[in-house]
Amino acid sequence: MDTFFGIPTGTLALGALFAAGAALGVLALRAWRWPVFLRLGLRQLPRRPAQTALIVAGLMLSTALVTASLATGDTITHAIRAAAVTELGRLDQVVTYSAPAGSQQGAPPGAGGDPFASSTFFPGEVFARVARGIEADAALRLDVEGATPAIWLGCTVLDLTSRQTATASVRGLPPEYPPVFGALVDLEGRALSLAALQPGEVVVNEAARGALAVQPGDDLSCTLEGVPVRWRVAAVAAARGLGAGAGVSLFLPLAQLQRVLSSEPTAGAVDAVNQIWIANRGDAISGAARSERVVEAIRPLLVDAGALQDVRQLLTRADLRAALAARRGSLSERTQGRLAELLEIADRPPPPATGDSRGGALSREGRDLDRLLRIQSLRAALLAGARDTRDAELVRTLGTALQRATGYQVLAVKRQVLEIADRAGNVITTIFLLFSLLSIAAGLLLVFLIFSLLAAARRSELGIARALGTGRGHLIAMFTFEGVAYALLAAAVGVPAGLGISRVLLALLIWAVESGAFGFSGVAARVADTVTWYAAPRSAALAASLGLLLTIVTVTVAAWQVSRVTIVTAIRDLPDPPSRPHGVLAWGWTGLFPGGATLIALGLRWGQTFPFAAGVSLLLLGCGVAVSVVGDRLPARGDWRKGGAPRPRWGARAGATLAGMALAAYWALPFDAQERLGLPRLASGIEIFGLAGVLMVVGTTWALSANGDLALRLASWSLTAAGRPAPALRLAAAHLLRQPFRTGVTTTMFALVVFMLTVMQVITAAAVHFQADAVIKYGGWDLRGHVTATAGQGPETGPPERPVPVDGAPEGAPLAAPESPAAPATAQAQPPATQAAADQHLAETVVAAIADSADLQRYVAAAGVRTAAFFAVTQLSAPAPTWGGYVVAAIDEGFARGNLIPLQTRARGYATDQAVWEALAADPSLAVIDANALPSPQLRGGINLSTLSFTLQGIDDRQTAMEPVPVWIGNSNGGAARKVSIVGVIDRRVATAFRGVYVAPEVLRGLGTPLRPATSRLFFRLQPGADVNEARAALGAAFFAQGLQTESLMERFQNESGPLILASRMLQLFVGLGLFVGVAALGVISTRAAVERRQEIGILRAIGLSRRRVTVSLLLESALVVVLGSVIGITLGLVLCRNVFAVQFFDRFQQGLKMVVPWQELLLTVLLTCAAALVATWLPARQASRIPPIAAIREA
Amino acid sequence: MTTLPASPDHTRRVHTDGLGDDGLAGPGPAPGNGQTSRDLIVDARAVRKVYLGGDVPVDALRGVDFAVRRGEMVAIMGPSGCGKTTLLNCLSGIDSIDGGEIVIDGRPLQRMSDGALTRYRATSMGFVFQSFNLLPVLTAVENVEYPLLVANVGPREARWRALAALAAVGLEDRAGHRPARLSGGQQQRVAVARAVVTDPAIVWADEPTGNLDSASAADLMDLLRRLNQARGQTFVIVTHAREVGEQTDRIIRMRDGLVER
Ligand SMILES: Nc1ncnc2c1ncn2[C@@H]1O[C@H](COP(=O)(O)OP(=O)(O)O)[C@@H](O)[C@H]1O
Ligand SMILES: [Mg+2]
Repeated sequence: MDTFFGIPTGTLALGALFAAGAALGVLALRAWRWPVFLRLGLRQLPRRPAQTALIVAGLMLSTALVTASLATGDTITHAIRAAAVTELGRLDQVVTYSAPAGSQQGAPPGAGGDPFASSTFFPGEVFARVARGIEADAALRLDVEGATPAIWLGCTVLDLTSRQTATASVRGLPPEYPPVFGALVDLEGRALSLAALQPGEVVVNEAARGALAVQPGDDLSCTLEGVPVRWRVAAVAAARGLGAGAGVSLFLPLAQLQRVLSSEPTAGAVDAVNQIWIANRGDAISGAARSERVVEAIRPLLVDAGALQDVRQLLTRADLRAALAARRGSLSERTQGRLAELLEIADRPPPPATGDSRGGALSREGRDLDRLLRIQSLRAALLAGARDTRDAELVRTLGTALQRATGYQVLAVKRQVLEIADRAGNVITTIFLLFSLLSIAAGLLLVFLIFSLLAAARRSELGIARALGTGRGHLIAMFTFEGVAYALLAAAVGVPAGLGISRVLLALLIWAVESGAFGFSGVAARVADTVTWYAAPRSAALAASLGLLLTIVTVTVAAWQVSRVTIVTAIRDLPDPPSRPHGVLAWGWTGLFPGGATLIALGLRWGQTFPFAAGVSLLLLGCGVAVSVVGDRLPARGDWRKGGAPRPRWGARAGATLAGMALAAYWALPFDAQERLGLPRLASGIEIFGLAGVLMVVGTTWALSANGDLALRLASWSLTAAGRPAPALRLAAAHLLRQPFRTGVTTTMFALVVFMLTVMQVITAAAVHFQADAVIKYGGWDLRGHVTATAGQGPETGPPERPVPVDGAPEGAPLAAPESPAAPATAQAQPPATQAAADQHLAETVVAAIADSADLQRYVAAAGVRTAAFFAVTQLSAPAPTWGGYVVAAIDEGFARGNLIPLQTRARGYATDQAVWEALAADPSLAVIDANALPSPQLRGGINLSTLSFTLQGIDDRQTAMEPVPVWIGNSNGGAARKVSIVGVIDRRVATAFRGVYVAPEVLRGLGTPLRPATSRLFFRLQPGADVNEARAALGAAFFAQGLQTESLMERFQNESGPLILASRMLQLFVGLGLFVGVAALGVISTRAAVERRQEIGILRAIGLSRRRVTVSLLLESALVVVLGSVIGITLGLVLCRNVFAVQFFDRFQQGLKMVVPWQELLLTVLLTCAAALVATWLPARQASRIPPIAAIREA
Repeated sequence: MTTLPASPDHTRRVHTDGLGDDGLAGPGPAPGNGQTSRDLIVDARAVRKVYLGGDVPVDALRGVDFAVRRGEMVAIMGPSGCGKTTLLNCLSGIDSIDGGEIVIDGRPLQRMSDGALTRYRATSMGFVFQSFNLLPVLTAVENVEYPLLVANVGPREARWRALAALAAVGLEDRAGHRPARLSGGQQQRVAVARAVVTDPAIVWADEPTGNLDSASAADLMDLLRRLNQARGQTFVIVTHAREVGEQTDRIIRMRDGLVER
């Protein structure tokens, strides 16, 4: 868990720790000054061991729950992060160089004209400069553990022996590279040395075994930077250290790789590299925290100060200035600001030239220039301005100067990967955050309940102490000592217990995954491998100090309350007379109004929901108090102390009802209601839902408990009217009414627990339902593959194309480790249309060949091709039609027949989804679109990040039948527009994997050449029972000439959805834990009730009430609370869920999550909770019923 | 016969609450001398108390006049519900009054703050309750020394004085026992020791024998009488038992919230 209400957990933990420490310090001081009271307080502990144990257990439970939820959140975050960084290992930063425009190296400038698009080779001497810089900088040495020059290239590798093809990265490192980057060891654990490799030999990693079926001695072939290469596999490295990762990697000594590449004249000097790797101190994850400092320190080592000077000079040219001024209007506001800043620096008098133009210390201005010129939009603006001057020479010199000035980049790759992982893991940690908040609230209530009961129990003793001349301060101290002793015990037990619980839960879960129990069937098996239990120390500290602090505060409040006992009544243990609140309380409530108004104003000003909603709540509270004050000139104050019902006063009743209902209603409003009232959009996190839940529950129970007498009277009246006088019920009701405060808190607690159960189950059900299973998610396909038109024709014929993801949008892989971002893009220029067309043709021949091959039919049940490209789409029937970009995918007959992609909406006239797909493949006037194209309202000003800007209007997510919707597909690259009718919408769950407007192949052909080349993907469904790896190997070998590479979609599914599913199950286990808190509360209450009522029970027994009746009457009390709490909890839980899902809160993490109410599971858990609660009540009730009548009366 | 804790002059006591004037005002006159307001340790006039707790207000005290001389042992008697306990609670300042005036040892109670009242109770008043009301977590001697510690007496001196007080009530051998292990009569004697250990100006006892068998009750009354005579300790005892009343100097009879004349 990283933040709570926007405050970093570490800070929060420190603050809580400090506050708890300060509170303990104050108490210690008092204890030292007043040892009698310390003794008095502490002596209470051993006096009633059973009660002490109960209190400690209750407090412990709440601390344990908070600890466990924080620790589990940590574990999951950590697991996601650890999975994300396996590929990088200890590599934290990479230095790369971008080739100048027009140079022979690297890719030609793209359409955008930015010459910095790809990284290229640079002299190995740069590494020496960086190494010297690190050596010279003591501070930097503390951050950096090691650095090495490296070559890292991507290519398609063919294993000529096993006849398999795979995308791989080739890495060359000096054999003596720093150990921090991890050793290479073979599968038996023996060290592998790069130095020992003969020329032409490479080491491959374990992942290559799966993808290429590689064995030592195999011959590999690939084309590297245009150079055909052949290698022999010397050894396979285990997936550890440098060999870790799921991608195929080849390792060889840097010098050998350089020699291979230098046979090609364009590769430059022999010692050229394309990367410098830098590892920070710390571990694979924590090292990233140093990235910012390291990047800041390394960057100046790489800047060419002379080139900066040149840029500066050029920027003073009048024609460029004029052109830039003319362009200003078309720039974004931010870019305008940066441009102004840049020009302002350029206008300053140039600094005196220094002898050494590169490396060393940069001036402050130099750093500013460097920082600004690294911004791509600004560079683009400058170059565009230069082009506007129509001075070709200026364009060239500026381009080169910019290039020289900022060509080297220090990329904080690890940090980027972690950021991506965190964003992906957010949905889980966010849910855990919500869970933690709710459990803190429930825990707080439990603590509160325990101490108000304790105060009630201590009342007469405290009265005597007061009579004997004990001051209020002493009394508070005494009671607080006792409470803090419980709290310390509870923290000492609760934190380890919570850690233990989360550990056990995880172990349980991993066991379930591995044994295939509970329907896991190995889905998350891979995740279980990587997930290890982990709890950040700050979480434990936060839980402990928070528990302690909450207890201290609660106990002090309770102590303050008791210290105000009316001595006479306390000694005799009679109810306190109603008293006028005095001092602060009498008028303090009026402060609610200005306070609330201030918060509302602040909320609007900052655009934050939290202060705004808190302000509204305060106002509502103020109104309630005002009503009750005006109502009977006495502020509402339930008499919670032992003994007597408060006289019902209408003002108090009206006030509590009004404020409670208003509070509940306000928080139950849909989250976008404020916007409909014309208020601005306010930002909020999931914390607000937790708060909403707590306040809804509190408001409802408050209102209800103020009117509890009416409700119970009604209940007992209707029972009597039904001819069944129920003395036990009446007794139970009377007891509940006698202590409205206690009843209210217990009900609130129980309702909160049920509320938590409900919300968690609904969210989990939504997540699980969404993740569905691999079959649904990948449309029934088992393998996905692609061919490379030039690949299998032998290594000599030309460079293979490195496959680039087509779909433009991220391929729905929120949790998968991103493909090594450090691998440079080496996509070679190809005549796009021809290459794409050739690929498509090749893919089609593969499908046709499978149909003819009986051998392959043993593995493959269905195969199809999906060819996708990016076009413009518009819907003329939309209110304001505009062209928007979208993927247009052509599918062949095989795909149409073989897929199981579910449609959430389909046009009338089609009996099945299958019918739609088959009609589509045959009829060029039809189309199907994915559900992501439907408009999705986002919670708070969500931004549409994707370039897939087309939205389809007029179809709702929930509708199942539709009329065909005509849309036009056009080509901004020239070519004709085509009209197609959309007759189906792909289910949201599948939509991310299958984005696009699906059309017949001839539609795509008719659209002409797209801006970016189309890509073809092959899909295979395997025969039932066929082994995935065997099938892949067979396909790879059969279509080796076509360079067919496949990936297992099941494996992909495991990587993507495994963690989420795992976390969902974890949550479900967790919710079971929360249950204990509710149960504990009822147990505590009943035990107390049984103790309190010894005498009364004795009398009842003497009068002739049977034991059973006594038990039943006590049980009934709990049952009433349980039923009321469950109804409130479930209702409000569903209300909150509806609100959360209505604003599609989870869309920021996972689009298309739909609310699913798992009624059966929900009712089952609630029934279980109720049953457990009744058992917890039954024990003390039974004990109470055994009280001998005489003893009870005598004892009084 | 045990010796009583030494107190050089029981009529001269030093008050720690800043009202030394009164306390140092020379030796008090012997009981039976002509009454002056100086001699009166309790002087209550027209005290009224109304309970608002129930559905109808209860006039528990309806203008009570009441006075006790220093060193006197007074019994308040009357039928159940006539307001005896209420009067005692009001006089001792643990309950508030709705009319009239109460002056204890020359100090008007109504004008004292809660803090001052608390301190005053700690230093100058002792209490004996019907149901003993010892603090159950403390041993006998700790119960007795408790008021001393509250009044900021040093721990050694407090322990010594508490043991002396326990000896005075004949329970020195039970000093280490918790209340639960003492009989009712013993518990009440501990309570008496606790009441007199601070050498208070006055000791209030509400039905001190109410929960005791007759033998223990007689023992307790002997003890109180002895303390009264040997140390000149003032006692105000509420009781409805005639035997108890007969042992005191004076009986005040109450009926329906009024003192009978
Ligand atoms: N807390 C209370 N609330 C209301 N009435 C009370 C309370 N305490 C005592 N009373 C009433 O005041 C009257 C005097 O009570 P009390 O002084 O206890 O009588 P006694 O001690 O003489 O038996 C009784 O009528 C009693 O009912
Ligand atoms: Mg009485």
